[in-house]
Amino acid sequence: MNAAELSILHHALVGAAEEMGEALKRAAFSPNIKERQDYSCALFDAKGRLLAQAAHLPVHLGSMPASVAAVLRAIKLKAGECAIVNDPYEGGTHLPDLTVVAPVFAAGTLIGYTANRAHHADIGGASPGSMAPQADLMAEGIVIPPAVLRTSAGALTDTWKFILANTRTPRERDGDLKAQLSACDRGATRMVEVRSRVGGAAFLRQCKSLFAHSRALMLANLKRFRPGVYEADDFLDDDGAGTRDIPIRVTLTVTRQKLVFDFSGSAPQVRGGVNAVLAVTQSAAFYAVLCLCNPRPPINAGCFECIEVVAPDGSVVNARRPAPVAGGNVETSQRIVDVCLAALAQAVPGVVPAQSQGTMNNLTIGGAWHDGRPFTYYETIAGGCGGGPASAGASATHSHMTNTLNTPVEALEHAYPLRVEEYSIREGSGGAGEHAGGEGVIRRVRVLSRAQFALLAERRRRAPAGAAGGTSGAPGVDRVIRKDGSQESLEPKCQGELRQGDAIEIQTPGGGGWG
Amino acid sequence: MKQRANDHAIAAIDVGGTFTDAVLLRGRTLLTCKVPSTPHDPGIAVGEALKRLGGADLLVHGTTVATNALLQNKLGRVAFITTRGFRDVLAIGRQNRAPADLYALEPAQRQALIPAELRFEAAERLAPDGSVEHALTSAEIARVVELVKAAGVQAAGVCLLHSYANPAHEIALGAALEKAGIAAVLSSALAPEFREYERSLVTAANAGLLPILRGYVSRLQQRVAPARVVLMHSAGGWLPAPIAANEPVKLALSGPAGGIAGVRAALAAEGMSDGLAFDVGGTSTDVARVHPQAGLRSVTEIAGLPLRTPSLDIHTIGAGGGSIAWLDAGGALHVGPQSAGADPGPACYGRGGNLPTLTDALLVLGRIPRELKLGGEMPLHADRADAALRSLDIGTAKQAAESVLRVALAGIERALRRVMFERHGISGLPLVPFGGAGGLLVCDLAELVGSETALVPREPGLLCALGMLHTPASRDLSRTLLLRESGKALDAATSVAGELERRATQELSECGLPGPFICHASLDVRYVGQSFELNVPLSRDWQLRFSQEHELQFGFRREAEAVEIVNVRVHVTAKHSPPRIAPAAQTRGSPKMMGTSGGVPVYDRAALAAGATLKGPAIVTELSSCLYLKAGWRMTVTKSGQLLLQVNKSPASATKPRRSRERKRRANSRKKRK
Repeated sequence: MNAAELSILHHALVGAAEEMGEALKRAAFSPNIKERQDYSCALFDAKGRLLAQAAHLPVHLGSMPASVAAVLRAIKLKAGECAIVNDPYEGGTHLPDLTVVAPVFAAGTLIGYTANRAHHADIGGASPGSMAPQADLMAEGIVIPPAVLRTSAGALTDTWKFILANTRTPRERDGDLKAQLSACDRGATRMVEVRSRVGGAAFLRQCKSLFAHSRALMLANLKRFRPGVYEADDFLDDDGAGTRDIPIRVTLTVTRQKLVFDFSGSAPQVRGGVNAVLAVTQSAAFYAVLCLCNPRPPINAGCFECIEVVAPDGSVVNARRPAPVAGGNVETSQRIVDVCLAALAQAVPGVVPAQSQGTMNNLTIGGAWHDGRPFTYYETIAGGCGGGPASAGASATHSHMTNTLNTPVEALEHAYPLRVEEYSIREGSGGAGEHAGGEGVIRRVRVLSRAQFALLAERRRRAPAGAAGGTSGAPGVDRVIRKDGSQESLEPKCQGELRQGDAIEIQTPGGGGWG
Repeated sequence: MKQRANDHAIAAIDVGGTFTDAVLLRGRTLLTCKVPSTPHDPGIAVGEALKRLGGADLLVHGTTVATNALLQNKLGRVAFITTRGFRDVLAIGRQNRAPADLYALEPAQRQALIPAELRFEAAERLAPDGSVEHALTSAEIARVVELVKAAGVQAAGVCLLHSYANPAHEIALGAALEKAGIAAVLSSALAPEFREYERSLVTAANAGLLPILRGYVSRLQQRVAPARVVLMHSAGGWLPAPIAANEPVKLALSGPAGGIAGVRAALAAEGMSDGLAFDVGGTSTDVARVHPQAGLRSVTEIAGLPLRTPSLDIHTIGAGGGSIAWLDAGGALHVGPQSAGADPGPACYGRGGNLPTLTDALLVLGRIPRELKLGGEMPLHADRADAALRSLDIGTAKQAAESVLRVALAGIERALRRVMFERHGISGLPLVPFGGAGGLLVCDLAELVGSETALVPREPGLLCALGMLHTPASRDLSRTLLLRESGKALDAATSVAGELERRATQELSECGLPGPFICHASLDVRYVGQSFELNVPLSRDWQLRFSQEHELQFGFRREAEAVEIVNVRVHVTAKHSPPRIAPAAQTRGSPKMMGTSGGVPVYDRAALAAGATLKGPAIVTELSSCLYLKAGWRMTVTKSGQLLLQVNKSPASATKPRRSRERKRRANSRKKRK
């Protein structure tokens, strides 16, 4: 394959994935998708191998392929059909992430798949927002194994009705899912066009070359990694159900051909919802490696061929059904990145910065307006990034596995009975050093009617560590401020009641300092 | 104001990086001139150009002063005042890292524009509907103004939460600041739309630009007096100097706006209204959709800052004529984003550059004739281009050049598709290249995006300045309403539109514009719960139009869902009759070949008479640009002297145009590879 065809196909396929993202963002209903952009879009070949992914969220890197693989195993999709899945133990990550997969046919031949994933603000379960600590998967929300969502005739199946009947905000779900279908169709149209330009046989050949190219770039990067065996460990604060200081360990083996991340020695799965499924652990490891790549290989199945992830079955990094997993995707994934980067820092010295906030500070508030209309609000809150050899850490910025936007206060107050009283930089929370850690954030939200809240956060006990002599960032602090002024401090994973006039305040961790 | 047409002279001056281009229309006579730019004070070159043209009554000016100040983060020392609890709104932004930093070990800190010590809070609070939850007391106003005064600033931006719904608190603060001698920029006057970060940012940027642009405009006024200065704004019209100097953030895309206006005028001269414009520059390529209803977007991104101000939807990518081609470690070919710039420039400039660029590839392929002298002066070194392309080691120089061209085209195609995205099925729009190198790629790009027509305007180098002559004064105002559909929603929107229209016409009249004014009112509408709005005209059937538009763009509608009006917008234009320019001297006779390049006949554009036709492959050259007409295309010189390009439709290919073009393209590239 010639040097030009590689780039041309790459442009065409990434362009198609970007168009899918644009279609999804524009047509979706919930602020979670539109304002926060908590979604990813990707194209796959006929065997379900990742061809191209638009740059959205790193946490979806390894897990989108897993969803497509699960759908392919379960259903032989016909032209026009679409499937959906959220089952973390069959290709999903955590329940609010709904992945829609559609086959792409050209003149009767299956040529590939398009898929997109969006985080929905509520997918049923015991608590509004489906992100609260629960005892098992069933309490977290409805579990959707790979199922047909749209027939080849274009009709919505009973699965659709079933999903809407099990969420607190069915109209919003209906709109978001339609946007997801629309995005899949957009991607399919473009993929057919791209293939028709070169012809079927050449398309197949060129896709193979894409994988080979990405793999070759990854191998070229590995030349800068010092061969050897490196170890790192770190701990989750707790699981919210009584287990504290949950270890995550990795042994990284670097050879010229391969990186093996072996998580043996990590804690067994826990009762609380911080368990990660294997796809999440893979995403975190892939992300950490990509950070160290320069030039960065195009993201497709090829670049991950030389990265192997081993995780013991039934552990906190490769959980078994029906362990609850809401926080695995958003919290444990961040700690897995921390340990992977710590191991990689030994193989590639002098470039890895101090630890960033290491959490997404998931806050869900749900309840009813005065007239009884239900609402569910979910957000993640930025913190400090670690200082590094080149610069001070960025303040009030999302790090590693997420990059979702905040919901504008003016949009939030228009849509929900909430008032944001403070949204500011948490002065002094970044670690000290030649290059200081970035500062965290203070966010205080008052409720105007009775509501429940759920908090899912990390780095409340163990601070983000400094590097090269820098000090650690300040851990996060959370509290409820009652209407009468009394205060209650909160556990990092908890849920509770807010009465009219009560407020919840989250202070997010600062990044570690460097040098 | 002088209104006698016979001696009324209008000048249009566009400041570029190297040259300042000027045109002057007196009666029907067009004069042009080009002077070197004076980057340290661009107004010097503007004054010089106008002097050479003999002065004018009206000067339409496209400036990059605001853009450069933002890009270089050289703003005035200004304060920012916001609601208590939100002092850091500018520093927190939308809390994400830049998309380019997704996998960066050390993501960059976002620009806050105004440092923490100059950001102040006022104790006050409004609810989303504008009702007062915590009143702003006069004592509090006095306290804040005292702090701002002590900080020694040139201006202050004020953005309070929910002020789009009720500007009273901002107005009170603004009055007190002005009384204390501090120029105040109020978000409720500048951009009264919800989303506090974006509104704060545009307010802060405007405040920071205020001292700079006020100085620039007043110096320029003196320099060109008695000509009256008006400035091109980002939304594609011009604003009288007094308004422009107070709202400098609206000049962020002042420069490119002229080019788009030029493309629009070029299309109009052929009875067309809708097209895809692209400008292939040295290091980057701009693409934009051009159509009568402006196609404005609500956000302009400069230096990574999302400035919420209506602007032409121009999309820029980092690939241009000077972009360097290189192979990555995996063997894939890339073009850009590194550029050889103007110095040393492409290898064929012979100034010491030896890396292959897109320009070198075009020369090797014969699309640029080897005998051509750049700007009529600089000879091209084909041998150096050959050597540079061979150094890529992907075949012969020709094969490498073909590859470089195709990769560059793929990148530009991706950008074109992005601006085409707005609507389903808009393929088929004519492509219009402006600037120097676009004509060399126009046929390929048209084929790639499924267009069968292209238009190459006259004097592509002067198109920006010429476009400004065709541009009317316009004022875009908006306000957030956030009202659900009901009998009252339309009435409320109509009344807001009326207020905005009155304000716009009054402001334009105060600047001496006689009118009449044409007002186009529109609504940003969404289903309740969505957070992306579609723009539809303000009319009785706005709900129907919205659901039609929604279906068109996203493939579905939701009849049962409530809709809400988010923003009301007005676009007020002063009536403007297009300038009548005497046609250039016409040549007669059939086209005569000047020579050949790579076996392709070359023609001199100046020698092509109206009505002349050419069949591809052919090359048409002129001083500032070059056109490559591909095989399968034909070209006609129109009455207005522009080149209209169309796909050849033989009876055989008319039934299956795509397939046959595709075959032809492949056959061609096979031929070239041999």
